[in-house]
Amino acid sequence: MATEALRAENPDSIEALSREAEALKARLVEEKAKLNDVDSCVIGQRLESIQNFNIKPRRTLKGHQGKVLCMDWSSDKRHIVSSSQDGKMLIWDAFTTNKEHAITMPTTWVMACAYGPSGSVVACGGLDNKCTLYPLSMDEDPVTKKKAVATHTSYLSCCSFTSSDHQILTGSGDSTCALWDVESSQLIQSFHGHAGDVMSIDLSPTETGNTFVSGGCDKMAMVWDMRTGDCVQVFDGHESDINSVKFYPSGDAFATGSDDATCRLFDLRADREVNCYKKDSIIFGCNAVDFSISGRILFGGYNDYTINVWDALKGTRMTILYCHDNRVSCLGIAPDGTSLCTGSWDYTLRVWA
Amino acid sequence: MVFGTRAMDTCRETKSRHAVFEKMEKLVKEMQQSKSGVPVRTQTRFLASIPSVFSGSDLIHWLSNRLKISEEEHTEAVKLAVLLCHYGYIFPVADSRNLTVKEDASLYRFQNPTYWPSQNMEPDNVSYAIHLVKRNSRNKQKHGLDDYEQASLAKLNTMLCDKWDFIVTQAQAQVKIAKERKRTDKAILDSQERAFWRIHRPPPGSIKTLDEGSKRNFQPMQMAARRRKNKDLLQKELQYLRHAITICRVKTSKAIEGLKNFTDLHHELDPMVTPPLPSNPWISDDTTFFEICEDSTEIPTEQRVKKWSYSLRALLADPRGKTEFENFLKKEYSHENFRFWKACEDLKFCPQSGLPACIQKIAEEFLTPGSHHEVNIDSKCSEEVQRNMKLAKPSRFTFDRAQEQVFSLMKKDTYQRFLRSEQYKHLLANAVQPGGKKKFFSFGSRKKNTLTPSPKPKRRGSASNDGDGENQTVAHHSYSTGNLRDLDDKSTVMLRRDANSSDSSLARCDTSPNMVGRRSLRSPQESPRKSKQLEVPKHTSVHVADSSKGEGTSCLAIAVPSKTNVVAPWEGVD
Repeated sequence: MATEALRAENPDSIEALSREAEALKARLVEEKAKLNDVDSCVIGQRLESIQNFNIKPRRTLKGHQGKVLCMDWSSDKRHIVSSSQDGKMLIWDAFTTNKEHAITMPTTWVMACAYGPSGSVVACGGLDNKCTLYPLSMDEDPVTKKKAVATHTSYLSCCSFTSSDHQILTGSGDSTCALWDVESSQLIQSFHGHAGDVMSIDLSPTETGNTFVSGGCDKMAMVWDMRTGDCVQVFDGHESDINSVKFYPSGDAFATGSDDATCRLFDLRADREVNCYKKDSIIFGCNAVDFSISGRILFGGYNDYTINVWDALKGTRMTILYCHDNRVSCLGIAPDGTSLCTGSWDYTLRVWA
Repeated sequence: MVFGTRAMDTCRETKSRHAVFEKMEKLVKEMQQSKSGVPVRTQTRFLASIPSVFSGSDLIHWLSNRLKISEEEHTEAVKLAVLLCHYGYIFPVADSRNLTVKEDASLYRFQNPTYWPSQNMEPDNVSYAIHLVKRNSRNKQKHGLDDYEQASLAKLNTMLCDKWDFIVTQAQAQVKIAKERKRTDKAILDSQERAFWRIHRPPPGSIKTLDEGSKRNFQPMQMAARRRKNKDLLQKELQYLRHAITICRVKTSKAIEGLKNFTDLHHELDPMVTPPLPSNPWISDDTTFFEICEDSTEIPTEQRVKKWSYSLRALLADPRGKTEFENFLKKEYSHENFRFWKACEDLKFCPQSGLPACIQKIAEEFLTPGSHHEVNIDSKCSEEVQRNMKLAKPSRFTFDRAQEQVFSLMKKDTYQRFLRSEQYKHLLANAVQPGGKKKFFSFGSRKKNTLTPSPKPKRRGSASNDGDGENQTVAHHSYSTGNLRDLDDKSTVMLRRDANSSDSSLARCDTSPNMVGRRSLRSPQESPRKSKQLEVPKHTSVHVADSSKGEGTSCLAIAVPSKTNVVAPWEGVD
């Protein structure tokens, strides 16, 4: 009894801190509720729906011998890098469906890959806990020039270059994100705060280099200030792991895809969830999300082999795309918005337009 | 069952990832309700009776009703039924090879709950061997093994040779028990067991649906414990919470309005919403679109040039826009601000090793009093820069505050002048019109009222309804710089009203970097109110009554202020 009383008086004790945190959380919920003046569907109803939306698979990229786990577009709008479970990374000219490079990694489950903004370098990583860069050139085998830049204490789940080839941001199963200097392989800034594996990151399209968002297995999405390494906003609401985060093209909001079979839209200025994309008939988790370049359409790749296409503002489903024979693991809109690429556990990638 | 308990434990741990099993199981349980579920009966076919089965069409019908799946999305119900089959909750009675559900009179059966995937994530080889031995010892015609099963039986025999006696005895015992069962029960149980192994040991080449992704590290229980125990995490959370209480937020309605405005503005630029001109290269195999949108192209497209007027950020995000802007400033001999901003931007992303030199160079070129390219920043800001420069560790954000100040200066001043400049107008006038239609100019005819919609290509499969639809949006293209003047009179009124009403500020702020809710990231000095007033409305919804046709046409116009009669908000406010 005595010790308990003593502990209660100590404001730094874990119990006291947790209590304070709980109280603050409750207050925060109240504060946010005050500003929740309208239901998003009410606004959505007023909007005209999108007519004649009709996209079809236009290209099939075959060549992987394992589940495709990640893909990224090059800034030239036609090249794609994809990585797979068997440790291969392929560089495609998606327009002609030719493979231009094949890189074999010393690991399986290459869960992250990214194209450098210059288009002359790719980065990838996975169960090797590392992020490795491969400069692309036609004369030499990229493997001879490879360079390990980042090292985590658990698997690499996602990576992304900032606006230049000189920095790379990584997310890992060790629950941290980190910004690395490519040239020296030095850690520039680390980001601690998630209580579970970080699954996805996305850099702000407008505040490039200053802000990014991350989502993880602790069901939280966090917005980070890259200058200080502090988490500046936390968003909860999902009931299961967040697998994917993606900024709304204006940079004011972001979408998440989760194992709880929903996608959600969180607004940074309102500091809360403003839309939830779900349906009774969707029971499988969502692995990847991306917006069309106006932000009106949200694409989600699901474990039930489908791509659900949502009207991001109305919150209604516009259509379902069927084509893959296994889980859709990754997807991305081309930088010019003309096409959508999806990667699946059926070993293929498809380009839709 | 032989297996199950161990698997159950791990299952509970990873529950959150397996929420999908829970959902499917809930659904299957509902299906099995005798009254409200899927009608299960004994079917007689070719004199043989098949006990407890249901038809594919009944199942799909039930799913559509239960999950409120509409007629158009009917395929969804079919696909879901197939997934239930893939995951082993139901299985086709007649066909053990193809795991699929057809919407016809074909027959399916429910799997026994003990065989549900949540109960047995990874059944072991011993159980599989028992199953195979059992079938091998029975009636060949009914229970005969497939080729791939024969192969795995042989493999297991060598692999588990030390346990083989045990396996054989087990199998014999189970066959004996089975013999005592009723015939129908036996048939059902046999089919269920076989279906179970069909899922867990599928024939080569078929999808292993129960394949999991790579393991994730922290289970929910662990995570909660981690949060509870880790003082650092807790402190950080508290720090965040204390701060979060104080920050300003906007109302949900405003936030959504902001998103909507952005979407409306970019409607024409989004190839997923508005088919691009001349054609989407992925559909037509014609790469013209790629070529005219090339960064380095000689003449940019009209849409691209228009986008530059949306916000300074949009302009600077485009390499071509950047160059044009710089050229404009060069001509005005005022490009030091822009160059400073660019240098700071480069600094943020340069290699660490070049950092000190880069900082030094920027400081010398732009901040040394009297230097050729000195930029104007206030004293507070320059003090901060000085402080940052003395830090032991060179920071990429040394000039952050100064950069922000210079940016807002550009936004208020040079950017607006750029948009009003002959250069910009010239760019817009000469821009590529990918529609293939020659752009017409009507500088002289100020009275021209008809807004010619740009040739609207039909989306594939679109019905011919884009003629005189009620809510037809007139394309942006339709405004040449000439008839913009016509709008000026009306839009100026709008602009002024907007500038003074704080309600509409958010709509316009959507691309501005000074959002209220995100002040934590910004310099605390700049008050949002101030920035609101300085904001120049870049786009306003303008309603133009088309008197000649007598039909209201609502459209979005980009109000590019003309030289003569524009009143910038800050000029009117005081």
